[in-house]
Amino acid sequence: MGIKVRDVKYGYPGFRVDVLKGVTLNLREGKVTALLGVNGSGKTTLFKVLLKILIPQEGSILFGEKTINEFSRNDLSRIVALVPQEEGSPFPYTVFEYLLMGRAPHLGFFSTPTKRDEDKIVEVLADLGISHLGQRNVTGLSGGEKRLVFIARALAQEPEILLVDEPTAHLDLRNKARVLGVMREMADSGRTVIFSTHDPNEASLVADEVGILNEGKIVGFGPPASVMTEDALKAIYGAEVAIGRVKGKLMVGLVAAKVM
Amino acid sequence: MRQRTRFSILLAALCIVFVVSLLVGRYSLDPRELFSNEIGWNIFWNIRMPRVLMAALLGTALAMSGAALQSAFKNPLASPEILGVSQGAAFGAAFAILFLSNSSTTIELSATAFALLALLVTYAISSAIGFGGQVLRLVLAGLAVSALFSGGVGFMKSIADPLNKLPVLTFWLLGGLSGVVWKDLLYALPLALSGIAALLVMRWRINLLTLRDDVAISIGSDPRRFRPVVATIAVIATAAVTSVAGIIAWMGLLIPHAARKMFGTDNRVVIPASAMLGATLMIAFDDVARTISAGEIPLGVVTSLIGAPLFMFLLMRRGNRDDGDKS
Repeated sequence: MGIKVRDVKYGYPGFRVDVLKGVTLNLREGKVTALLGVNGSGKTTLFKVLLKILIPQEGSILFGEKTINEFSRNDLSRIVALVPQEEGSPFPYTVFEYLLMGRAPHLGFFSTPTKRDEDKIVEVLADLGISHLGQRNVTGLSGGEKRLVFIARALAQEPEILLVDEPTAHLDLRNKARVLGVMREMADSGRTVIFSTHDPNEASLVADEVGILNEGKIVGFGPPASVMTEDALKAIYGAEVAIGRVKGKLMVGLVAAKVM
Repeated sequence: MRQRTRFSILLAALCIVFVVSLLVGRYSLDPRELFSNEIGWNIFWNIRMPRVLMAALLGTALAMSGAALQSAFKNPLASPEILGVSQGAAFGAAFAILFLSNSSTTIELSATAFALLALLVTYAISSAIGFGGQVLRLVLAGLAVSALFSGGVGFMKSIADPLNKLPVLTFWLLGGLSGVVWKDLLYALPLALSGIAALLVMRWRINLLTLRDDVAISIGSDPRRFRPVVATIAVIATAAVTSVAGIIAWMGLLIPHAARKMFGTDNRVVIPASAMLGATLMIAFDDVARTISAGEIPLGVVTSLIGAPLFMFLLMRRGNRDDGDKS
């Protein structure tokens, strides 16, 4: 299922400045789309709008053929899942218990998870190659393990669309490669993956399409090579960057230790 | 399987404590003469049975409410005291004793109403505080509300008639089950049991309240609606038993911690385990309160004297779990 975002405007109540100033995006099924932008560009707000946590003042959002308003919260939770950066629960749930919470969209209000739900968790853990983490405590995992567990919790919802918030923040290169690889696989198996990042290299590495978000507007949208130009990146980052190619991949780097 | 064994042990302990408690006391009962000895039967059925059952209900309601509130507010230190609920109930009771009537129904209704009011005020203030995370704002709001109601209680104590009002007030504030009869138990029962049953059926879903709010919403469970529901149910159950027994400190905080140490974190297990552990310990603590000296020690004093050191011990005994929990 794809998402069509048309001219969405959102401003937090009580603040005059709009955070989203007319965002239009076509997020295609089976593709990885990167939302590239600096902090404060509106990436998180856009995610919250797509999750129906915030209701935009203007514009429309279509999931497939239906508008977002036609979905109840529970319907939506079976279609879109969020992978957060950090969870921050003070309670040391085991990974298995934590993942079972992702089954909530498929359970009635007074129901508790059944064998079927537990089997689904076993399957998700195996798919991601993290079955060994099942009985560990979520609060004691390393950064990379946590990120994979968050993805697993989202997959437990059996969603068609994954929203991934800064998936590689604070990860080392190996874990970066692993998490980005998992996202690529999710898209190749037919899901729609949207992730936010401020690192253009990640966008060029896994994204089919990049939407550059700057001050609440989409200033470029398309395949990485066509939208991530030196001029475009200089404009949004305000720093001297250069683009080269290494093994056929676009690589973006800083070339001066000062801001423009 | 190991968990099932631990549950069985807990259940066995509850049964043993229950039966033994019916037999111990200043009047020693001989089980063989129970039905032939009229005084013995009277003590057994009209004095000890309602009291032990009330202790069980009290422990269950406080412990389960504590567990639910801790999850609901993502705060392992949340408890009726932190949220101002106990102080609200105390204020309501004192208000009733001084200005309304000494009838237990009035005291109970007033305590329940003010406990709910305290939660509402705490919740409203915490939403209006312009800084800090949700946990911090709630604790700060609870602190202010507690202080306000404690001040109110202090003021009422100072103006209370020292001959007939002050002793009633003081005894209620210390907490205890002495003099509890079937009527008291039956008053607390409907509200307390409804609350207990509601928390039991929702126990798995209460886990979802510990997630980040945006994550919880994204899995279809909006904490902005579910949190007030769970908190209100917990407060009603707490107020129902508090209105009979007075403020019994520490149990709502201590028992869920102990249950988590024994059974893990999942509320599917923690909530029923807290209930059983709470019932067992409260019966035992009340046995201590009514047997250890010639006069009766208020139950609230016993739970504080035993509960506070036990809680310190629990807090310090870290490192036996690989959870990296630094809170």
